[in-house]
Amino acid sequence: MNSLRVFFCGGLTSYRALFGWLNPWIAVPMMVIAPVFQLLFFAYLGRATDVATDTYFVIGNALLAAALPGLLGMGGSVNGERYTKTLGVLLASPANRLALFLGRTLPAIANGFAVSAFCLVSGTLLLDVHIAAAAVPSLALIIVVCAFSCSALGLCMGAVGLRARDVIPFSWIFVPVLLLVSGANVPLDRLPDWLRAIGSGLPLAHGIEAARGLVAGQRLAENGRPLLLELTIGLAYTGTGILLLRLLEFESRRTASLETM
Amino acid sequence: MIRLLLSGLRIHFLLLSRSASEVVAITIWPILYATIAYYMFGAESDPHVLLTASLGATVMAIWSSVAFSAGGAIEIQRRLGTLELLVAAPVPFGAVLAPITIATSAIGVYALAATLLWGRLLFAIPLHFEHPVLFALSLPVAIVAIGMLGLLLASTLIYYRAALFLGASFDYPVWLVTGLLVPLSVLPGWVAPISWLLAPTWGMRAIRESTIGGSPLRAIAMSIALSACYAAIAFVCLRAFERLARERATLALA
Repeated sequence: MNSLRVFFCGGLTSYRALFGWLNPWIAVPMMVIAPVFQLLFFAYLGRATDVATDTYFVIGNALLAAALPGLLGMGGSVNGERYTKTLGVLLASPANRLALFLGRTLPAIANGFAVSAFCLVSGTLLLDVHIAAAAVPSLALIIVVCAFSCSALGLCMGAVGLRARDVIPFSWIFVPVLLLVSGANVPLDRLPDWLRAIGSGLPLAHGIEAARGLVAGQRLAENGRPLLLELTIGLAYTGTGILLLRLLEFESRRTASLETM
Repeated sequence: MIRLLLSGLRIHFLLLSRSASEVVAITIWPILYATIAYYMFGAESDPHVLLTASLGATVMAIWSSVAFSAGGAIEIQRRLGTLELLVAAPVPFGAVLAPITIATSAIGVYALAATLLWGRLLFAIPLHFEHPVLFALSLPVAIVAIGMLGLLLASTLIYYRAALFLGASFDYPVWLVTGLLVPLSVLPGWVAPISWLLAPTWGMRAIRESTIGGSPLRAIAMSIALSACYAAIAFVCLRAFERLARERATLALA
């Protein structure tokens, strides 16, 4: 019961503190203005370069919007504990580590879903893109899976934050990397093989492929493989994140290096 | 005053150059955005198009650095506990703040070097400057103009509690409307007058036309004129807000 309380209440409190959810002045610029303009930027760049239709960019960038809360939220949660001088206290507590850190992923997934859904709706309205109503429930499922896989990668960032002094700039680097290799904006057939290989090992590429299939009129069952791959990637990063958390916490205790690079 | 501006600029430039995260961010981000542009335009495109994309990615990085830092410039001084000292100094507060925003713009030279080198080595984009002297003039003029836009941003966001985040959210809107990668011709017509008021538009034109050909003098003149306008508005705003903060004793309150 105590672990459940740590999972839900601890995760929610940490996330609210991180993004200052009591203050919409922080949430609106980061979670509303930036993702919508990112979508518009690439849609217009797509028009200028004649790469693909607006639908292509609306789907790609809406799913990409789920990455920001996942990557920065999870990376920032450990960083935030260090900033407020509570990281040592947190690690000294007997709380279940899985509940402690996985609890922080749940709000990130919910937030990623909300931002992504908002972007999808805004993009379809602003660029007059049509998405069949029948595809919406399956799209919602894909968004949840993508938000989960991005948060799982963020969990790994958070774990690295136990040793690195500041993982936020490192987490930020993943945003343009995903812009490049996930297929959100650059069609994968235009990328060299090695970049495609990197993209297929990171979150989003398979989810975006599945979402585009759905919007093109396919059924969810026909896109089961990419969706399962996306889920597998998320689970693999979750496992890696948990291992890294245990390893780096142990190392930081052993070498008394909680705040050194 | 000139000594203050120059020494402030030097100190803040060196300070930013010593920050590994700043230097990595300012070099890696434009490389990644330039790479996205290369593949979107098609890596086999006209070398002029790819060179323009490199320059566009560089100016994007400069604006990004300025927007993020300018939004939080005053907030950071407040956190460091130096805001009262700077306001109390016997020089206009704007003259203390301007070197900070110009320095965040000036570290864009790292972005330029990294992006041009990346394009040359990986995509064989030829580095040929049509007007090298005018390019040497365009770059600092563009840097100062974008830095002064940052000063204007910093001065008008004083009362916004989350200025740091708001500044960061200006990245894409300004990248879009100033035609750094997306030609203005594909945007709605009402965007063009907005772009004329923003320094990155003219800075980019000056740099681009001095590199691939054209007449960059008009863009250089517009950048200088806009810098003067931004400075005038920013100094008036700062004076008004500073007085208000002193009267209400809210200078140190976050």
